[in-house]
Amino acid sequence: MADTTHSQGVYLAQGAAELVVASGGDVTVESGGDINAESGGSITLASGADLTLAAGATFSVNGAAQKSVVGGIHTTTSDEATANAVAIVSGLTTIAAIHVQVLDATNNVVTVDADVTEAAGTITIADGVTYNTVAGQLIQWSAIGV
Amino acid sequence: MANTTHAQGVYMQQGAAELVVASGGDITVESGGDINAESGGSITLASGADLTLAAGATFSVNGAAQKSVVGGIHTVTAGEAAAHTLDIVTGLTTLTTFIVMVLDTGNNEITVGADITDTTGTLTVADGGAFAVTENYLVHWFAVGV
Repeated sequence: MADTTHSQGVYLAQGAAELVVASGGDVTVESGGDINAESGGSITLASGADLTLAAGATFSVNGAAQKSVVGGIHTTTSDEATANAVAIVSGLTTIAAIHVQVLDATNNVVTVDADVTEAAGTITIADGVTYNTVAGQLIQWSAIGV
Repeated sequence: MANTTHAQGVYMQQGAAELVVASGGDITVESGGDINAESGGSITLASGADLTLAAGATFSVNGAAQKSVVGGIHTVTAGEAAAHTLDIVTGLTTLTTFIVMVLDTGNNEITVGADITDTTGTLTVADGGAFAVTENYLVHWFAVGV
């Protein structure tokens, strides 16, 4: 909860056990600066707090570079069935990999030889030799990228 | 942009609205220490900044422990086709789960029957059933683990 007794954006709480970044305050880590959490230390975001990585920021876990992972379930419309293709906008611009699984109206996997392509973050699932785009199909999709 | 008028690694901007960690400066969170972002607070990483979780560090979202998610698209080589098998080094050492989707040269899903195994983070995709490892097939893969 905010302490309104201080007018400064950044201050040491009484007893100096806590450095507070008040509303409007800021901690800036310039290029070459660092925040280190040693073993047993922690960084916690409460409900309603936000962690944002801008485009070009990197995030790695145990040496593995992380990307955005997005996904969803798309219900095929009658128009898409008529067009024999479904286009799903993933929200990413460069996709590293995609996975698509199509279930029919009774939840049976019917992906078989669906024609799956990706361009600039949009995934297109179209008729294959056996696979047919049908209204009411559920397309479970996931994509990893940036 | 860096403020070069300060010689200290960590300093308070005039007016105390901002704490700056300059190049070479550091904020250390020792064991038992914490950085808390309260509701409405935020932590933002600009383009070019990096967030790194070392091996053994944990990362949880709403109580759910997160793992690395990696993925990519592997194009089958002639040698792999001749060997009827291919290996994909995920960069992880212990996989919790993985997903593989193979597209043929016409982008049709063709995974059915493929023999897929994991050994210490390396995915192996081999002939199985009607599936044959074929040059220029695209192997879309995701792996979750550490």
